[in-house]
Amino acid sequence: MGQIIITIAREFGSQGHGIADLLGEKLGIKVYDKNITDYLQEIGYDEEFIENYDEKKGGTLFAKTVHGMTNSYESVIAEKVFEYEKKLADSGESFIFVGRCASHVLKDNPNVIKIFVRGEHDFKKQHIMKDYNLSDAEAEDMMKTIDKRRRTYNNFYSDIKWGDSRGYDITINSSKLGIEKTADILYEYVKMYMK
Amino acid sequence: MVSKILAVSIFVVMFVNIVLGKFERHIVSLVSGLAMLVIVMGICMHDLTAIWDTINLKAFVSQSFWYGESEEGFGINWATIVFIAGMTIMVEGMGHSGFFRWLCLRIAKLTKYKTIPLLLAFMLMSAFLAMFIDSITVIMFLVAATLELARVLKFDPVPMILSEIFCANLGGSATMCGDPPNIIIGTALGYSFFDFIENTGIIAFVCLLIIVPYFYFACRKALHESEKNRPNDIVYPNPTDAINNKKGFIFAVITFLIVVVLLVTHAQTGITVASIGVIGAVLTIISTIVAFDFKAVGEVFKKVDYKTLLFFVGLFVAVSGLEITGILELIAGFISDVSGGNVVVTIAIIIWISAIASAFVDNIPFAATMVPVIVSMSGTTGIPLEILAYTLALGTDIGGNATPIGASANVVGTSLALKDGKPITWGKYCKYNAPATVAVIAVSMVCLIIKFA
Repeated sequence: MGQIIITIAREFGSQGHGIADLLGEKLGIKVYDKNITDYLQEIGYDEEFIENYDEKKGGTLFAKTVHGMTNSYESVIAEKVFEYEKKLADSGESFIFVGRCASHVLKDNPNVIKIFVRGEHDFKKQHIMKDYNLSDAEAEDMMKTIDKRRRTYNNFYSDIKWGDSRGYDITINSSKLGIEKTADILYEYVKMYMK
Repeated sequence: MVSKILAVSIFVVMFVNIVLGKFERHIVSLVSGLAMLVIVMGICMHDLTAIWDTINLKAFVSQSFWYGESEEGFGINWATIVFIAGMTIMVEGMGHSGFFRWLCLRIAKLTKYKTIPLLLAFMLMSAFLAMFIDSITVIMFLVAATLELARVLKFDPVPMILSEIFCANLGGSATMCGDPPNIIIGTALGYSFFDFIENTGIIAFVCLLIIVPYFYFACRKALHESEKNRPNDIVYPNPTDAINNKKGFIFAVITFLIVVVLLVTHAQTGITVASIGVIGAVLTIISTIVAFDFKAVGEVFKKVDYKTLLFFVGLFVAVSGLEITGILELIAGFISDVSGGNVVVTIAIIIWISAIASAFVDNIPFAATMVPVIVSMSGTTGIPLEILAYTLALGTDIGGNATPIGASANVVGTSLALKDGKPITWGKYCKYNAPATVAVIAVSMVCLIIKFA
């Protein structure tokens, strides 16, 4: 099998991560998501620092850029993550990368399939309530906050707007068929692409 | 009146955008400069002479631009831009040959890799080098070497990096060519390298005598501990490995020494800083061709920070707009009224305002704006211009030390540490450098008062 890289951007609650896991299992390839923090810890950043600044838009008022060098914590963490994504792609390994602008960072790699998973509002809310044991209002708040953070992060570093279908190869609504069938469709798509 | 309001509006929008950093600062300053030329001077004032004077291309054909005593001028300060461009080319050439890394590793070897002597040596080297070359380059190489040595010698590099940043800004305040505000002040008002050394240089030296013990006491415990825990099987970096090309290295050192001699003696020889910048650049180009090839010259030129040079062009035009509409005279009048023409009060106001402003906003536009203000203040209050000029220089140069965004060296130093997995938070930065900045500004103020009042 040649190298295949799948990037999955997703709305919060759309089960993008679950779909990535199922797809990774079917294809027998590794999924990178939260485990990116292992790499960041390995190169010296502590857990609290990563928690505070990973997957966030670069600050401007409390940071500056001189000669292309920035002291924005968020931007440098993003830079490190993007470097890691490129390193993985260059290694020849097949993998799935969830979030963190991977669709943008690896857009020029010919082996990349870029996916965006969205979901209906109620579908996402129900899943968030169940997964995080939250009330209706809390789930609503969390969904808004995290989607806003992901959108801002993506739009800051990427030239394609978050969720804009022109930036992805497939945009899929996971609430129509559920997690398993969505993963099946994506699996078929990848298989056909690889033939 | 309309031209005044528009000039202030354009300038405020420019300043806010530089602070917010949403757009690159050279774009902001060039757009503002263009607006100042077209809207304020062209449409409102119908003054084509003012536009021509602001662009100031005639400076290049003036003899005093290249040789002799420089004159106070109006419009784009091309001497500053040519000097910075030339020095940047020279410094890039030096970096290309491996000079700075060699120097850092050589000094580390001379200290026998003992962390306390290393701290003291790097602080002094940072201050000394920043007297002649831009603090960004000094910090870029020094911090990279510090991080490399910290990995090998197993010590926390953060306090050492903070001390290097502080000393680079302090060293930069000592001379005319050390920091962009000094270059602007020196070239605009016709002060020499020695004028600065005799005034800001002596004060910077006094401050260094306070700062070196300050960082020694702040860092010694942690550095001592690290030495105790140092493994025995360390492979120390070899300084000569840093030299990329021996011939290029020798040429770079000779060029640097020639430029230093020219700078130190420019008041006696009459060779202006613009000429020195050109000489430094030409020597670097020749030596790069001899030691490497034409391609290497291209690489040196590629690294020149053209954006900063363009930023200066736009900035000088924007400031000229304020000057020609009389806004800066109003500001000067206001400060003069508050100080009542008292030298001590005036020194205190200028040094603290410029220090506080420089801690948060770019000190280059601040200094460029303040130069015509102090000229006007000197005229109305009778306070000698040199007092105001050196006060402004010290306030803007040293004030930038207080925060991680106060000066370019701070941004570069904290950025390199951050990329190496050693984030320096605002809290940590300010814990070390903010009290030191307040102390040094207070000492500088007292020195200025003793010297001039």
